[in-house]
Amino acid sequence: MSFKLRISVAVIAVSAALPVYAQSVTITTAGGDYGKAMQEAMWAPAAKELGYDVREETQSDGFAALKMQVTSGAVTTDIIHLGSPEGAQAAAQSLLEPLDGNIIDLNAVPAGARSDYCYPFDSYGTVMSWNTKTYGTNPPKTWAEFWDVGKFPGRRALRSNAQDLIEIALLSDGVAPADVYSVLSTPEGLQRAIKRLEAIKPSVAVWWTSGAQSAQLLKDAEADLVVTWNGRAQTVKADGGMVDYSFKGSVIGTDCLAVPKGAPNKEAAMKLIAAMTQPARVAKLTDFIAYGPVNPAAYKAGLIPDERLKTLATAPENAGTSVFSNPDWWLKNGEAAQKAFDEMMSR
Amino acid sequence: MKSFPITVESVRKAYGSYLALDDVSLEIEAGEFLTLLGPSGSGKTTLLMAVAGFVLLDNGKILLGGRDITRLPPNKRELGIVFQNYALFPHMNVLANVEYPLALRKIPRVDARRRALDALARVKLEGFAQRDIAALSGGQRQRVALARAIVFKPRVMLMDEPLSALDKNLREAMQYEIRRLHDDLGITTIYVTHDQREALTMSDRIAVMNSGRIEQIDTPERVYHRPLTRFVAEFMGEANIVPPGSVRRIDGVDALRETLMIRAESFHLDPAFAGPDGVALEGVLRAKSFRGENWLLTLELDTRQEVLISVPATLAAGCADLAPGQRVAAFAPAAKVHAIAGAKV
Amino acid sequence: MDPALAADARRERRFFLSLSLPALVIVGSAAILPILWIVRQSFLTTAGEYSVGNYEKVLSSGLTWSALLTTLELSIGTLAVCMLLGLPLALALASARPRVANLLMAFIMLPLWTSILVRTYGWLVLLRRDGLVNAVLTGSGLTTEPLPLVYNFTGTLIGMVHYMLPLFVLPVYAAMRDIDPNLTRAAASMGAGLGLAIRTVILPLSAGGIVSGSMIVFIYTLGFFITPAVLGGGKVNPISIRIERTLSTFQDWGAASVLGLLLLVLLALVGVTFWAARLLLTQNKLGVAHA
Repeated sequence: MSFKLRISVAVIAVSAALPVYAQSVTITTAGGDYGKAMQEAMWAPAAKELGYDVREETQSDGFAALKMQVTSGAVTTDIIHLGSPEGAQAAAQSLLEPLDGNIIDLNAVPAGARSDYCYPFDSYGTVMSWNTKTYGTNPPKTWAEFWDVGKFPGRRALRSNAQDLIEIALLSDGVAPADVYSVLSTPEGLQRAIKRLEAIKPSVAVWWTSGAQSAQLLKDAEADLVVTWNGRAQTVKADGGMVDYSFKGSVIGTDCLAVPKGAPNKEAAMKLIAAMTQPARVAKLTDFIAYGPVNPAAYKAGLIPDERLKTLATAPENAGTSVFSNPDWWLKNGEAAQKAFDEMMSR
Repeated sequence: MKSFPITVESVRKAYGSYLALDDVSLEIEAGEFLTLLGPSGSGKTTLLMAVAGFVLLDNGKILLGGRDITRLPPNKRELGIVFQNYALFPHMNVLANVEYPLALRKIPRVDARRRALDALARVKLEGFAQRDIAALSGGQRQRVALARAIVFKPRVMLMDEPLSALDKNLREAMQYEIRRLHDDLGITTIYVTHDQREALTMSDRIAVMNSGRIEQIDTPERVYHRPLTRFVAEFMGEANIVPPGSVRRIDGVDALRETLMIRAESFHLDPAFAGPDGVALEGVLRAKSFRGENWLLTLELDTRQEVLISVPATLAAGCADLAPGQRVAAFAPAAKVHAIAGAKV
Repeated sequence: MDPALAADARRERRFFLSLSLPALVIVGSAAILPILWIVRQSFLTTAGEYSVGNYEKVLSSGLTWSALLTTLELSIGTLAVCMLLGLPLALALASARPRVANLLMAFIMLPLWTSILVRTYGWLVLLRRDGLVNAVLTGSGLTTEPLPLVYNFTGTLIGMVHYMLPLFVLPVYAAMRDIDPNLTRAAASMGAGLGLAIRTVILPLSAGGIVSGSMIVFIYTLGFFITPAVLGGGKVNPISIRIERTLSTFQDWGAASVLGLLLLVLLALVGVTFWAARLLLTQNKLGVAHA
């Protein structure tokens, strides 16, 4: 072999080997518009900054996928996108790695939302939305009015799930937002909420199961009053639907990012989470979808235009009458609450 | 049993461009056994099914006992039908099949049972009441079908080639039994077959059908010996159609000017058997064969036409000596020579 | 038999058995192993210990039994409507001329080639408050208010019947087509009108096909998920939805496995019942003696 050839072989070998050294990270999101928004605003720019090679997997049921991977010992994803109650549950079942406080600033979010396992990055409100053709300029303004089928006749659509509805039921029964979880924590609190839901059940035309379905119900005027997520209501409204919604009395939930137990690239995953949740990036997310940042810093310095702030559940002006969904309460009482809810449904 | 006459008046039925029944008229007397005889596609089954009510007519009328039944649905006609493949209900046993029409008439169970057993006895099926249909032979199924058709005292019996699926011996026994059953009950019967021997054996009268028309309707003897058309002549058996001029009278030398039908078995080799007013023809022997009860000779006439001659063995003393190529004369009595109107050779 | 011949026969049997071995392995791993896994799962608590706790929890819950009831209601309802629509349909097909029957059959089979999801959402569009059906009903003045045709039991039943009808009609039609047309003629000649002929001759003789069709409907509908999920509006919750909820909301695989096994037992019971019914029918022990 000639000397020249030997050099060129070495060059080819080195250049071929180089990409192997680029850190690769797999992220699992819910896909769809939401997943796309997260890519554009959050992880794609963060990956570029870190020089990571990020692969995306999509799962409609993140928790089920997480549990499957961890229990079978075949963990393929490094970062998983969960709802905060699911995050709490996953942590309780030891499915998650604890977040590294040296890499991620766990205290950047409000104390009520803080988690050691699943880092909350955006928020959504479960809101009241209505058909403007049915109610004109006089829609129900409170949950109590939402429940008043005499004054506001019309077909209701609610989510077929206890989450948020339990809180809303208590709000409609005159419980103050700040007292919702203390009432729920009494033995008769849950029963009170269930009773309230049972009272409105005859007027519920549809119990929806997916966010897309709730948006369709609004759009088609299949229901006049729909409890849905603000992002969904905003999309229908922006598309010219005869629809409006209000953050008054909304239940605010957060989504979070976590690292599955036994993830192949644990440390890189932590770094990517830290980078993709920088205030500018979670503020940027609102360019694509109306889910507001959890980190208060993202609301400062004009990162989000003023008129968009009105559409975000956690914007300072919308937060007054809302209830922050409490993952801990749901972790402890979720199964009992859902069971009571299902039993109410089957009655 | 009370019997009814049937009148068929100018009935017509077309399937697309195919004329299944072409202006057919027919009078059947009360208690008569009439056979519709013809090759397949002649319209005989269509006519039977029209009487049954399963074929909707384009034109014409059918009267039963003087009453117009043309528009009456089949289930109101009160006709007993025996189908070609028996059409027994496979999910019922023999008794249930025979009781079926009685059950439909809401006849009390005890009564129905007695009548069904009577009908089974009539067709010699005592002891078969509890059998499954699948466990019966063809002949037994035939009898069940008969019992089922007569048990409710129908006004008329219709039979669609009921014996065609049976072997020869059984068929002959059943022909006799069906006829006996008819005579016992005195029920007007229309019987469809393509077997001319069966028709001759069983019928009071035979209607020979061809291409949707009745060619001739007459007694078996007349249909056999006095066919009106060449079709009837040929369909009824081994008929020789002889062209004008080939046959002469024995007593004179005049050749006969009509087209003649002479059956093979009407010929003799001895003029004495033909009588003085008989006819004679001559030809070259082309073939001969011995068939046990008779000799069969094929003569070629001067017109190149072949004539078949059947000579009973008892009268065929000279037959064995005849050699092909020899000229042979054959004679037939005048009564067996029949002119066919309008027939083309 | 000659011992040598018997040995040959044994060898042959073993040879053919070995031919089917790959198929057995595939069936075994694709069908039986997952079931065994589910059985194991049903005895595992969330803490990973073996116990019968899942069974106690599921079987003592009123939700299980109400889901079971809904499942049976859906299956029986679907079967009833399939019979109501399918028997006359099969009868019409069987009495139509072969060319016409084949054409009609193609139309009936057409929906089978469409994805169930597409069909289900299709019904949603047709049946909803502003949908075509309600537009026609209110437009023509037949009703003043839109009828609640979807997001309830009615809508679910419509969707399920639409899916199952071809599968029901197929075996029934096949059975009816094989009935000798002379049998109905014979019945008519003896005085049976159309209704009686159908009741005393056609139905008993196509009973085998009807049982097969019913079994297909029942077994399919027991596990139906998409149709009740989309058209039921959250109000129609059979076992399948109960399983999904147990998994997605409670992440309780043990309880979900118990529910799955419950469904399996139900399927087996239904299968055995129909199989026995068929056997009785083919042995002609349920003959209809009297009209």
